Amino acid sequence: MVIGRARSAAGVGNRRGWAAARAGALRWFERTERRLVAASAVLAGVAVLLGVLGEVAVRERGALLDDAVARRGASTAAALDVYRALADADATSLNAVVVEAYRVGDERKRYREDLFDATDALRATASLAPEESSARRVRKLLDHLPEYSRLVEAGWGNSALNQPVGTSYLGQASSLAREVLLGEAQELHHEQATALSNAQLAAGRHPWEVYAVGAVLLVLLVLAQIYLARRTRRQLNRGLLLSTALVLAALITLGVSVNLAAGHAADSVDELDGVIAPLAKARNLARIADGDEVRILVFPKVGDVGRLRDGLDALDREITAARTGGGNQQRVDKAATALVSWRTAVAPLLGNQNPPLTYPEMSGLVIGTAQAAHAQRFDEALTDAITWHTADAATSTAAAKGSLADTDLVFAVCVVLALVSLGWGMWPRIREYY
Amino acid sequence: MRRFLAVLVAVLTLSGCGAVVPTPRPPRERPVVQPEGYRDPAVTFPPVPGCPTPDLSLNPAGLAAGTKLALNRIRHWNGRLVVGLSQTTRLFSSRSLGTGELSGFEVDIARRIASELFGEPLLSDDARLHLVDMPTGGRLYSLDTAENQNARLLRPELLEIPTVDLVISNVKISCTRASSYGLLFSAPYLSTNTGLLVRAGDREVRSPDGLGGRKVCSGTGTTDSSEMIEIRDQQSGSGKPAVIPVSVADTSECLMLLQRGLVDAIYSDILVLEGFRLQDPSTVLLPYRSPGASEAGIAMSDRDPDLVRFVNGVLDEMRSDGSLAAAYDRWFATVPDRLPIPVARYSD
Repeated sequence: MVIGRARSAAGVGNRRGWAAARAGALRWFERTERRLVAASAVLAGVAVLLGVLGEVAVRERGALLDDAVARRGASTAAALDVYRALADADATSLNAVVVEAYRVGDERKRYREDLFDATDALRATASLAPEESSARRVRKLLDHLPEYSRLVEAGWGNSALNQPVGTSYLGQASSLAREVLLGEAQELHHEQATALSNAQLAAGRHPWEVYAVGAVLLVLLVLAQIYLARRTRRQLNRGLLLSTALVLAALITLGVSVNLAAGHAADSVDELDGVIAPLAKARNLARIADGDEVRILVFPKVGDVGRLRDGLDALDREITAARTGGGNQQRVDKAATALVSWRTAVAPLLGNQNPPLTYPEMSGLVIGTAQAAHAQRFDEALTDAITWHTADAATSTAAAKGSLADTDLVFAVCVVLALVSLGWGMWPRIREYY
Repeated sequence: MRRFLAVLVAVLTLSGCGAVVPTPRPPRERPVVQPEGYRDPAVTFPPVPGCPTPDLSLNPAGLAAGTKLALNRIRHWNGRLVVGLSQTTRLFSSRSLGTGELSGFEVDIARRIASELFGEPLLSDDARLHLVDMPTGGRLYSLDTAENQNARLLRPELLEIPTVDLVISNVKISCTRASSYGLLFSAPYLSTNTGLLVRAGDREVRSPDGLGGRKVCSGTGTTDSSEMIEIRDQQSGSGKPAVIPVSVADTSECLMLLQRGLVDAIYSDILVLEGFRLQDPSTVLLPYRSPGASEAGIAMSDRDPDLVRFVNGVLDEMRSDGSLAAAYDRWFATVPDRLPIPVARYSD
């Protein structure tokens, strides 16, 4: 009972305290000069907030684009190199046992260079993309590469002695490449490419929180102008007017810069997703198709011919996708022409020939000079197109970064000048009342 | 001074507590890469039903009386004999990938059949003999039979298997195969039993009983694999340490696994095992032999009975002129305790 009374007394006391404070505040604001001081403080506070948010927004976007240019672009390219080098190694490891004796050395050298390139690209990816998911994939690839190399070298050694067990080693190596290595490399590239696109899209996103604070500041400035006009019977306060114009200028500068950056970033993302991605996929599929041809020759399995046929069809689709995605006409046409020649050359492998092709006939199709040149020409045409579009996409990313150049400085100067103008406009009026 | 020292000690102690301790590298294991279709442990496939006339083929004497549709097709319409072979079974039929040359016991038989068919000896590059590599997992679908045509309708990927006139690829004669694929077998040209191949120096091993707790490799779905599973069950039942049967899609992969130390023995046809041993002198074929024996025949379509009779006639000739035995000796001379070439048995 005693506690209840004490609580009740405390509640009454609190309510009285709040009422007294409110009355005191209202009394304080009864005087105009105090209202002007308070309004100035609020305006200055919101202007500072706008300045801070604007700076952060511009710098964040700049950092994202810097990251896209310096890190994500490089890690995406490195991940793509990993895939290409491994797919090429798969094809070359098999080529090395079926080509004429004088070409064996070249094929082996190319395979070893592919493995070096893959490892080197993995090292680059590991340093540029240390995120857990990418690191896990890099680790898995690095774990399996020594075993892959051992299997291929053992396969070559045995095949050179005409030991059929060499085929088992090479078959196992090829399965490892296709089922583990290429799958991981593809995922790694996908992660990096997605991160690159996301970074660019995020950099081109408008800073709506800055616009909102800017809008609030503009409304407050207009209200302050109206209040001053009523109190001082002057038409316009020049300081507030200048401050309003500077805030508006800061917001317009920011909006235009981000808009330009968004346009360039979108161009880059469109090129990455619409052209480079299908071209890169086509190049990877082509390396796999090249390997499929030799597999049919070295260790045929049911389903191999169908897989090769599907792979070549997929190449057609990817080239068409790159063309409709805005690929450079001349370069894409060159790749398409090389693909048609390749398909024509290997057509006998794809049909159910009667009589079936003999080994010399098949090996002529798969490793003969003319066929090898078709696959090679297609690969070169795609590499040329990918290199050209990658450079173009990087230029767009750099242009996006350029669009934001000095925006932070202009924004900061405008906001600081707006603050000075605010003081210039409000201080004489406050002083008049004191 | 004492206070100063006390504070110093306290600061040093606390800073020591907060020092970064290097994280030890987590232990990791080297990944083990197994071939596609590797099974550990191996599993039993449905038992093969019994066969009323397991090894009876068509008598070549009946050739003169019957029609010769298949022979006419091969000799006159197509002008070529298409033979399906393996290219990875040493001693039977294997190819030098560099030169493309095929050689082996079965290649010799194929050449002799073609020579008899066209009435003259054929050179190794004669276009009238097409030697075609059979894809793994599909060699018997390459014969033109009603059963295989139905299978191709159900599994379109089988359409890519080339069509051949004969398959000579160490095909074990079985009624199940004959009825499943619509085949006719020639009279057997080879008889063999099963043995064990281990690494040289594995002195404790004489038979499957010495391989308790160790991995023994066979081809998936083969009689060898089923036998090894049966041996494991017997060993477990009698309280002995049991073998661990594992299997792979293609028996030739077992040698790779043995060389890589992933299995301890291979249980298969001793002639195949001898081919493995010759590829790797660090292995040894044990004297152990399974009690049963199996026979290999040339597989043909049941639509081509005249071809079956003709092939049997050629094999009979090879038996009588000693060329079959000579080829057998030439390729398998190093195999200890090998079974003799089986006699022909005909149903008519």
